Parts: sequence; C-alpha cells; structure tokens
Amino acid sequence: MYEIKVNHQINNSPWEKSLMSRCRYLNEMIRKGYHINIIIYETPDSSTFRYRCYNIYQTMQQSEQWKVMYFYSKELSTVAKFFKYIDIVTIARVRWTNELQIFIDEAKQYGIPILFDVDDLVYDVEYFPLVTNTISVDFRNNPEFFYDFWFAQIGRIDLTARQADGYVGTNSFLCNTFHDRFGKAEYVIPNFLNTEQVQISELCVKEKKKQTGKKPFSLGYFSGSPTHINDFKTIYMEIIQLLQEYDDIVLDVVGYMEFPDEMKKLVDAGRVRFTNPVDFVTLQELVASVDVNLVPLVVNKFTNCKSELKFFEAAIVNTITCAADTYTYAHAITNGVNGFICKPTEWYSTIKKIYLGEYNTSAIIKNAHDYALETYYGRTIVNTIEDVYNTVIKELANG
Amino acid sequence: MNILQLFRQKWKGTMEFKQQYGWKKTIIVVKRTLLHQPVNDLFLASPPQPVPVSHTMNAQDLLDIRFRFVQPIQAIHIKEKVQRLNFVIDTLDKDSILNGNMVGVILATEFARKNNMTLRIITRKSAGNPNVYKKILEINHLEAFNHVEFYSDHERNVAGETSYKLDVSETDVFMVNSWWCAEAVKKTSFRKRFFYIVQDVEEMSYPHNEEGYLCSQILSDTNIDFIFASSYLKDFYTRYISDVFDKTVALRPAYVTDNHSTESDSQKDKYKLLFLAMPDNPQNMFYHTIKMLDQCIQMGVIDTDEWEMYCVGINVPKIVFGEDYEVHYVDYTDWEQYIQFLSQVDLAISLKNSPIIGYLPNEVVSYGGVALTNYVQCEKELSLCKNIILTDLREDTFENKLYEAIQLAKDKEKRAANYKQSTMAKDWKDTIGEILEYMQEKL
Repeated sequence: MYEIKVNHQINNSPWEKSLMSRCRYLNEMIRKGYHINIIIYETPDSSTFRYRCYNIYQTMQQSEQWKVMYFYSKELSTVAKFFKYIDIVTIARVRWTNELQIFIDEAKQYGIPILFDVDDLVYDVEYFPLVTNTISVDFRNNPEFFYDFWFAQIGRIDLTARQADGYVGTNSFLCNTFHDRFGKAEYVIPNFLNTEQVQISELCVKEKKKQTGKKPFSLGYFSGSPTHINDFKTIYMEIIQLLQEYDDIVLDVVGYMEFPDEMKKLVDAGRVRFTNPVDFVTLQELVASVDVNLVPLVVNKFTNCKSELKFFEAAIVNTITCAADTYTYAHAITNGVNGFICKPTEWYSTIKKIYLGEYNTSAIIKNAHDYALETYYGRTIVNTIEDVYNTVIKELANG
Repeated sequence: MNILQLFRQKWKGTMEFKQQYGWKKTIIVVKRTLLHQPVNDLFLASPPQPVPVSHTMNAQDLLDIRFRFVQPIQAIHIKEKVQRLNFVIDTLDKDSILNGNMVGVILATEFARKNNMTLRIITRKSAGNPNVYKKILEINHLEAFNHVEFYSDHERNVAGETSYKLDVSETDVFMVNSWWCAEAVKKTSFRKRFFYIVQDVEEMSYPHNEEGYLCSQILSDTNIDFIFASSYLKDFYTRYISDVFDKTVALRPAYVTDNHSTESDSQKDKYKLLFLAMPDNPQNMFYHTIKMLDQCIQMGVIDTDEWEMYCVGINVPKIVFGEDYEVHYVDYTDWEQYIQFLSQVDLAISLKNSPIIGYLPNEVVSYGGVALTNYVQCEKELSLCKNIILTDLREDTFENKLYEAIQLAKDKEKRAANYKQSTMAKDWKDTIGEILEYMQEKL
C-alpha cells in the first residue's frame, strides 16, 4: 500500500453556483451563438448529478458548438424563460411531478427535443423486483412502506422517461433497454472524468511514484454501503481465503457494511479496515493508496447497465482494477492488459498472482492510465457529446 | 388477569428466552417488542431450536423451526429468459471431498458446459466456496469452467426469509442431490420438472418418522427426473422399491488418479490402514467399525507392528484401540495432501448400512489399494476390481474377510495384477455422455 496525502486547493463541490451565475453563463453563451442544452436534475449530489450534469457542463466548455448548463427542479420556472433560445432539454433521472410535466409540455410547444438521461436501470417498473433485490432492499420490516417507497421512486422516474423524445445512457447495454421499452432514439454518452479528478490524480500519482509499495498489501473496496452487500458477497469467500493464506494482505473498505459472519474474525483482527465515506476528491487519494481496486458485482441485467467509472477512476491514480464480468467492465478492460476481469473462481487466483508479482503490473498500470485519459477525458468526450447533440437536432428537432 | 399476574407471566417468558439466547439478545428483543418493531432479523441462520412446551406457537412457525432444511429458496421472478442450470446442495466446501457433492458438481458442470448454460451453485447451509469448485474440476482432470455463479441463503431467518432472493426465470433448470433440497426446489422452481441425483437409499436413513415420509414422497414424485449415482443403486431401487426406476439412468463415476500405491510406496515402514469415520452420518456404521477393529487388534488379526491405522471423517472422537494404540487422523482439508495420502493407503475399510459401496473404497482401490466393505442386499461380488473385498457385518465373517484383505494388501504382485484388470472408469468423458443425453431429452 501507499501513503498518499497531498496538499491541494481543489474544490470538492465545484458545482455549487448560484442560480444567478448559472443564468448569466447561459445568457452569455446564447449571445455568443452557441447551441444550448439545459440539463435538469433534482438537487445536486456527488454521484449521478456529478457525472451526468456537472461533468457534461464542464467538459462542454471546450466545445466550439455546444454549451451546457444544469438547473434543479425548483428552478424550472426560471429555465422556462430561456425556452426560445434552447436547442435541447435533458431531464436527468428526475422523478415526475406536476410542475415537471408542465415544464416538459411547454418545452415541447417550442419544439425543443426532450432527452431523458440515466445511468442506471431505474426507470422501468418492470425491473422493480430485479433492482430492489440486487440492492438488497429488505421488505421484511414494514413491507408496505418499502414497496410504496421504491415503487414510487422507480414509477415516478418511469413517468418522466415516457415524456422524452430520445434517451441518453452510459452504455449500449442500457441504451438497448430504452429501445426495448420505448422504441425511440437512444444515444450513448459514457460517464467520464472531470478536471478536478484529473488534477488531484496527477498529484497522487506524483506522490505515489516517490514511494515503493509497503506492506500490508491492500485490497480496496470503495462501495461500502448496505446496498452493495450482495455485490461483495460474490467474492468474499475468495477474499477470506487470500487473507487467511497471507498475513500481510488487508481489505480496506471505504464506507460501512455489515460483513457476513465468516469475516468477523478478520474484522476483529484488524485485517478488514474501515474508512468513512469521503468526498470525490479525497476518494482519489484513498484509491491511490491501495494495491488493488476491487469491483465485485452481481452480474445481471441491472448491473450490466452500470458504468465503468470505478475502473477509470482507479486507472488515473495508477491502481490496478479487478472487476466483475459485467457488460461495461468487460468492454473497458482488456484482461491482463489494462486490468483484470474476474469471474467467480478467478478472484483468488488473479489477486494472488498480483500479490506474488507474477504479472507485469507496471505495464498494466500504464496501459490503464493512458487508456483512461484517452477514453474518459478531454477531446474524446467532447466529440462524443457534440456528435450526440448534433444527431439529436437532426433527428428530433421539429420547432 | 391482574397486573401482577400479567407481569409474572411476561417475566417468566423473558427469563426462559434469556436462558436460551442470553441477556444481550433478550434486552434487544424486549426493547423492540415494546416499540412494536420486528425481531425476525435477530435470528438469522439460527439452527432449529427445540420449542419449549410452555410456549404457544403459530403452526407455520413450528414448521419453520422443525423443517428449516426443506424451506423453499425465496425467489423473485424475472421475465428474462436465461440459460441456466441451478444445482442446489447443502454445502460446497472443503468437506466436499468426503461427501457426494463432488459427483453432482461434475455432472452439473458438464451439463452446463454442453448446453452453453451458466451454472449457478446454490448452497443452503453455508456459502459456496469458489476455490473448492475449481479444485473439484482440477483433481478430476476436467477443463476449467468459468460460467459459474454462487448463491447461498444460509443466512435466512427462522421464517426462511432473506433480503437477497434468488432470481428465477421460467427457463431456469434445477438439479438437486438430496430429497430435502428437492422438497425446497419444488416450491422454488418455475419449471415443474427437475433433476435429482440419488446418492443412496435415502429412506434407510430414517426410522418411520416424518423425514422418512417426506423422503418417500419425493422419491415417488413423477415430476422429478432421477439420476442414480451408481448402477447398484438403480438396480436396488428398481428391484425393491418400484420398477418405474428402470426407466431412469445410473451414473458410472470415474476415479481419476495420477499415481497409484503399487508403484509409489515401496519404501514405507508400515502398511497403512484407513477407515471411514462419520459418526453423524446414519448410514456410516461408525460404532460397528470401531468395535470390529478393536476386536481384530486384540485378536491379532491386525498386527499393529506392521500396520499404522488412520481414520478420516467429520466430528470423530479421539480413539484408542486396545490399551494404548492411538489412531492417526487424516486431514482432508488440504486436498492435494489428502489425495497424496490416499495413494499410499494399502487397505481401506468402510462399513455402511446401505446397499451402496461408498466412495472411499472405490477411491482407495483406484489408487491401487485394497478395500474391505460390506454388502447389504446388493451383489456379493463386485466386478469392478478384485481388490475390493466384500464382507457381511457378522463378527466371524468380518474377521475372516479382514484377514483375507490384509493378505491381499501385503501381496503387491497380486494387488498390481488386480489393479491392471480393474474395469473402473478413469475418465469422466468415458462415463458421463449417456447421462448428459438423458438429461437433454428431459429438458
């Protein structure tokens, strides 16, 4: 493992901008003659909002054709004032409300194409059993409440999705589900890196290069939450065997989850260590400090829709990823070249070989780093988004 | 009832609970009860508990406690059509080398491989161990199979509920290797038909009790496609239970070995005698075995200057034969070492109350050793290999047959000749094809 703690002034919530400042930016870009896409989200957060709203806004500042700004549900009436200047409205995973419906109807009167953007299979009630089962929603205690809660979440997103003219997803697998459900146009914009992540990661890598990996050999799991317990359970027997076999391997978990009984001895012995959840900038330091980034997932239709972000975020801090064989990870990772795809029965042997130095890890780290920056940052992403927006205008605009 | 009486009654109930679960859990349960919060999740994976007679219990709760092992696997139904074989067993861990799970795992894997299916191994008593799965294929010289998943509901609560359920589609195919898993699958699978690998004469494990009844119901279920773990077993069922079993198939297990004892161990000081010791398995005649061995040592049938005695099994007490002859225990958890040990065994003894020869005698014989085992209503001669000697359980027969087995074990030339003439299958590819075709027809 590595001790990575860097001094920096990087903002860990760069999306916090007043409505006024966002309107000013929008106005300025409209005056300069750019095409405009407005993205609507409920309230800002460090997960979906960051990837699907803030990052797109930020990267499209490089575009010479398109500019993007994000707004929140409570700001719909302000956004509507811009309708006559807007080319596309994107609704990112917003739960349906009467106000949203009025907003969408009004945008359609202006002939503005409405896109629905989502990074998870959470928009179709048909997948309710699969989704809630995979994230381990426990219906045993107070079932009526939980059924109503989760059904309302997915059902409201579902109703929003139905209003759209086209769909944007993070990968082709997810987009195929749009096609099956709505039979309308669908487009891929992957999740990608923002500048703050790249900046902190460069500092981490610089620090990491000064060090040689120390013992213990650390396996990092960065999704420590009760909703990921089933994902973790797909590998825990193999991880237990590794930790039992090698005293100097530890499991570092960011977040909290209750581990199965079989792991309790290891937890008590300090071989499983917990860190509280951190902001996305600090997270890069933690990912940089481990030797292997673990991305276990239950493999099913729901998880095949998920993006490969845990791979590229580890790649830019020179950390090797071992990921489950889902659609996106299997597409992003070339096994043994820029990371590892592990099926059940392969986690133990793959990690053991990494630990024993039987792979050329420096080459894998470099390949992953280069691949992540080429594929998930900068001009490549700008081009992808421009292509999508231009196609949307061509195919869907009717105003 | 006045307040004092009510208090006394509640206090008594609480103290009974405390006696069973301790103070900590009692306080949590009392707190939750007062707050009208559910307590089911506190009893995850608890073993069946005797029900205190003073308690009034809901009928379903009683059944859940008594018959946890046949509880259905909780499922969600998915519309996606998946090509998947689900193999449901109690456990898949290091002790799988001693039970019949290995054969089932091999059959399930080869069927999934042949039909481009994913294999999902479902364990009900503990989490399945992926490394053990991999090892089973390795030691049987079978190609690795990567389309495998694991699911376990061993942490289900008393009512059989779990927050992570099994996703099941109408195309999911199920296979089991015990009648209790069959009972569970009946209420889990979309498809009515499923496969059951019968490993033994299951009914013989039970007196005429409730398990015996449930077991017999499963074995007469016309929706189940039975596969017998050996031709002897199929013959027994056909002859003594029902001729409908004549239409089923029997597996011919292969015994894959890398080396054998007639070549590898000429240097050792003493002969090695291994006996199977499974006191918790009702079909293993553990106590009869130690009684007979103790007698044979005292009578000099077994010369402890010539022979070292070993036993392998689960939950075995420390045994001393005669006055001071201690038995060595074989660690089966390191499979490489265990297999290495098997290849050095000269004589294995396994006594079962079953018409079926267990796996251990066949394994030892496949490595070139000699095995002594008993017959119950089955053929009195086995044509597989002359290094297997059959006895009955009577004292004099056993002593004579053991003497015969010892002489054979010491006669390396005869042992080697018998080994060469053995008709035991050595490669799964030679034996499994017919079963896979049968299963395909039943899909």
